[in-house]
Amino acid sequence: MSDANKIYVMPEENLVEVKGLKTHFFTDEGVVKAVDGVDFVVPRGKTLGIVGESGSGKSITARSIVKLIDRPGRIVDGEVLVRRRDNSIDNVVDLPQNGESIRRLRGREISMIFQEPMASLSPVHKIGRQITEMVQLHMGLDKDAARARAIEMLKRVDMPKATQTVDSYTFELSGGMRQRAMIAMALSCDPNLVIADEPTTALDVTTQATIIDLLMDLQEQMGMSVIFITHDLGVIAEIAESVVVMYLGNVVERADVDSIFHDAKHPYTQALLRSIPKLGLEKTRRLSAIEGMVPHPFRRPRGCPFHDRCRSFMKGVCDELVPPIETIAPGRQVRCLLYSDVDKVRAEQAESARAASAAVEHSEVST
Amino acid sequence: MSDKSEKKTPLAADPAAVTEETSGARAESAVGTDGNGNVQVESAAAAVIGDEYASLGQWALMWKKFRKHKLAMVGGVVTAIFYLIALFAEIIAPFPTATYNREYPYAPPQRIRLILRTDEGTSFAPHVLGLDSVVDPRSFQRTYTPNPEKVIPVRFFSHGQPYKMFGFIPGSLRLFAPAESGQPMYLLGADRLGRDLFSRIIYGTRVSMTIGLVGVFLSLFLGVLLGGISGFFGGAVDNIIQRIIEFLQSIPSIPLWMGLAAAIPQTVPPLQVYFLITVILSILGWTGLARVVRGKFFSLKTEDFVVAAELDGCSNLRTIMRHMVPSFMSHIIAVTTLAIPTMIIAETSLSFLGLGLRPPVVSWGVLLQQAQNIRAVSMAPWLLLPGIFVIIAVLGFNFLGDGLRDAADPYA
Amino acid sequence: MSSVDTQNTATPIGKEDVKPVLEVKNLKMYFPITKGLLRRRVGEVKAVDDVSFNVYEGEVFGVVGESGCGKTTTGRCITRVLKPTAGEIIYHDKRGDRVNLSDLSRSELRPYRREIRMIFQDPFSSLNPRLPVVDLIGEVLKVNRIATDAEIKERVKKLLRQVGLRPEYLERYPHAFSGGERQRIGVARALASEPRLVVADEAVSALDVSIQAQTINLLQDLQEEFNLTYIFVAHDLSVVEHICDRIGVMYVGKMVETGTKEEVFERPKHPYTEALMAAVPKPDPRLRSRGQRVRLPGEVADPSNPPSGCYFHPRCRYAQEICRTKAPSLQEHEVTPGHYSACHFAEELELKGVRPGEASASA
Repeated sequence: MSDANKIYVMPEENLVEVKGLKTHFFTDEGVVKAVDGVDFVVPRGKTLGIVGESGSGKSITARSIVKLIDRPGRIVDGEVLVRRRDNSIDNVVDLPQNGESIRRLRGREISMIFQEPMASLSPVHKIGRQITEMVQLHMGLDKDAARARAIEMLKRVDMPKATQTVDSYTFELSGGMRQRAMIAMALSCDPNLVIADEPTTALDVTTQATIIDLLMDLQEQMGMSVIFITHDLGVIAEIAESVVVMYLGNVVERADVDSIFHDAKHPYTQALLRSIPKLGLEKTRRLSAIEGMVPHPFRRPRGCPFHDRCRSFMKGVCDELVPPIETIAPGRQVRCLLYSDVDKVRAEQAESARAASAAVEHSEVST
Repeated sequence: MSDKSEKKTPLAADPAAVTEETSGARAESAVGTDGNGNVQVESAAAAVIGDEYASLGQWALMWKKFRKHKLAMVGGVVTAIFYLIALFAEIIAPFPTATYNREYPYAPPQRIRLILRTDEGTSFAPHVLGLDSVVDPRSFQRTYTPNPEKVIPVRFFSHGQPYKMFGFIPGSLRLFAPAESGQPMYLLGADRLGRDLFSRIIYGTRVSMTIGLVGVFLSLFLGVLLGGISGFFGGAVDNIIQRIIEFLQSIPSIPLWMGLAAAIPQTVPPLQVYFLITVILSILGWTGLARVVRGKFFSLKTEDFVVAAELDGCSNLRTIMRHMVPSFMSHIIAVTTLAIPTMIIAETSLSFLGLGLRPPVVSWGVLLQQAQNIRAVSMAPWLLLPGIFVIIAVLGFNFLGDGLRDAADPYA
Repeated sequence: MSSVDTQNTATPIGKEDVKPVLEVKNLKMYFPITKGLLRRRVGEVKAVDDVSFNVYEGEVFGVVGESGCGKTTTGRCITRVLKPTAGEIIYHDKRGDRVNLSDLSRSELRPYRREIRMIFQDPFSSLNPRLPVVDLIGEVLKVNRIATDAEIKERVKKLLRQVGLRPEYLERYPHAFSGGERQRIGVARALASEPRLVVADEAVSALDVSIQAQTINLLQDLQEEFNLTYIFVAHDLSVVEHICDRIGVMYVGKMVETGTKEEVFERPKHPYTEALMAAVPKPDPRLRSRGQRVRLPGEVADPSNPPSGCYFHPRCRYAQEICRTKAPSLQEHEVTPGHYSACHFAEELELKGVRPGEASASA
């Protein structure tokens, strides 16, 4: 982590690469491994969907990308490579927590949209003012140009009567309109990447559909990449090009969206897809539910964290070995021992355990 | 259909333990992000996971949370010590409040020496050194010098001057006192009449600490009753009670207290003055509590679990007593604790101004009255010591109350 | 209101012998808007405005709609958490007697509270954190003196087993349970008094995807086991389609369409129903709807100041002049009896539902 002068490389088409990211929370009660081994790439101009249930660490992953992790949380391992405006590549993990560089990254190059618009919009300032402040700060526009930009952005998000809404307060708007205002603000500085954290969860279906359409239209026009975080597989199917499925802080599967929905490899992804009722698509009396529940983070099961709910559970394998991430095809990864060479994994993990205990002994001897 | 995980044992040794997760269903389970983007870490369920924890009621959970609050624990201990002092004032104080000694006006604080060195050798014998006083012939000021020759032995758990505990239990046991009764000992100095300030502060503790408690209980009674009526029935009743509260809260408190206190005739016996003062303090004190209770009633009335109780067929009374009151009782206790120091300060202020308690009743405020005289303070700065006790007691209460408030909702 | 009368006599297709458990007639719930110190009444929010429907024994009746459509308020009127402003809620009790719940007093309601129960949306706020499971579930048995303390313990144990929790959890407090487990406790509480009708208010909406499926299965199993009737209030159309037999679609306090699940989902007769279903994202990237489906423009109308005529007309793509001026009533369809909708053009419009045919791509 201290290697600040290291030169990073990534393929030209990628905007963000996350490698082996681990974000842990050091609470009084113990360490919560909220994100514990996450790898994915965000290609330029594409949408990556991150899907997972409560406690899967999807939001923390997104926050780690812009290093918005407060105490007691800390990124303990991994790299978050981000292509900057000038085409240089920075490892966000190495940037100073509140330094100039990361502040330029947030808001200007990467912006965020949240589930609850009121959380990021101020109730005491007019919407226009909040947008103009952003563009004045990040784009260096003067006051009039900034206001023009604000109105333009509100028009772009199809805000009715944009020239008037620019002078309204957030409480004067409905939920859907607030979400539009927040999107306008997030896109006002022409970011390279938008991280949308459950932006439609609190909305009604009809509003959700229009917001999703809007986001996709804007992406086409402006060419930014999007990370779309949701628990709703239907939304993922609508919006994402590639998908990351998370479970208990791990990426369990990564693939293009069609493969996820039609050729899922990980038993968790398969089970998740089976368990949701699908409108007009099937007529079964019972849903095929996943048994049990997401374990408490202090009680991560040994081995594969999903093993006690898994239909393909292999005794003596899944409950003993931590599944490594396996690349099964270009752009397709899965973290499941069904796709690993179990003997090899066992040998490797035994070896590393021996090495670890040896290191402990060694340090005990030396002290 | 049933949860498999319940029959399995993920990691813990405890076979009955299940996976626990208490945060909002769609929020992140252990580490969630709140609306402001701050990361919150679930601690309640995370603390201890197992059967014992699962069956802990609210008071046990509160205690667990409270114990983590270091400052509050200190505050709690300090408060407890003060009430112990108040309870056992007769035993702790070496002298009754009225014991005076004309020979030692404004005598300075003395130190208890534990080791006595005499010609025969050193021995363990707690003592204070007697004071020689010289009067400056021109200024008539007295100066004291300890005299190593005059050894006044001090005995622990000795029988000193007899007293009646709480006014009716006779006794004479003292925690420590000069071996021979009648001999002077001024740990915290003496006042104008040569009375032992230490003993008087100890006795003052009793009055000052209880006046806050009694006053707050009176406020609590009024506050819960009127606030409860206001919150439960709402409508016109609520409107009237709220307007009364607003009126009372708009009156500046100190002038009102002063006016009422000044109206107490000088002929009223001290004990009655004590109670009248508590009544005066509670006249305004209940309003804040009533507001808290009303607010809690309002917010709880629409709470799903209260609706569920109603749907279970609970009567009004049962809904209130079993489902609503326990939900804010802990909160009320915290608020009450925070109200006590205000009462203590108010009593001290009134007495200091000569409008509250009057001698011969001893309270911290009454003692501080002597410190009104600048000359006396410059000569005997220890007269300000009761003020230090006020500060410590008030801080103790505030820390305790803060901790209780934080622990009041262990499910938050 | 001829439409209402016809509906009272109609039963769902193929279920002519089935008796209604509940008849809701012209239900109105208005909340006053007050202003100023004297609480002057300046208007009212018509949360539920003239809603009528029947619920038949053993069926699951779904009430769907967007937030603010009055579906939750309707549920709360039926359970009599709220006292309706007007209208009748006629409950057919075990002996077949008809009682109008809408104007019963608190004490008169008591015997019916045992038979009509409610499952809440939020598994956190609906369980008193200060009571152990045995008291939470057993409260209804205790206050109605249905069982002694010892019996309550046994019955709660049995209920816990029935909802898939361990009976040993009796003395645990809610904080020791996860969201899904808490919802099971909520279900057990609803079933403790052996009810006939259960109003499930968004009972699975707050749950995680995998827990949602478990809970839906549980509700269905329990329905079969105890011959329950459910009123299932929800906004998630996929869940409603899965669990319900008949469906009512609400929009701004009005019932705009009712009918069997098949009818409403496959051959909707109200443009709002069509738009609602088009908006549901399909969990299959090959069925992406963007650009192909029509989106509903604008916002849900303000129930304190609804538009003239048909409340839906400002957002309706089929709206004509008559829609702006005349409010449509809920009418039964000639071709498909039992299917009602409140649209002037219900018979003419060819609306698109969700057809099983669409599934072919994913199969």
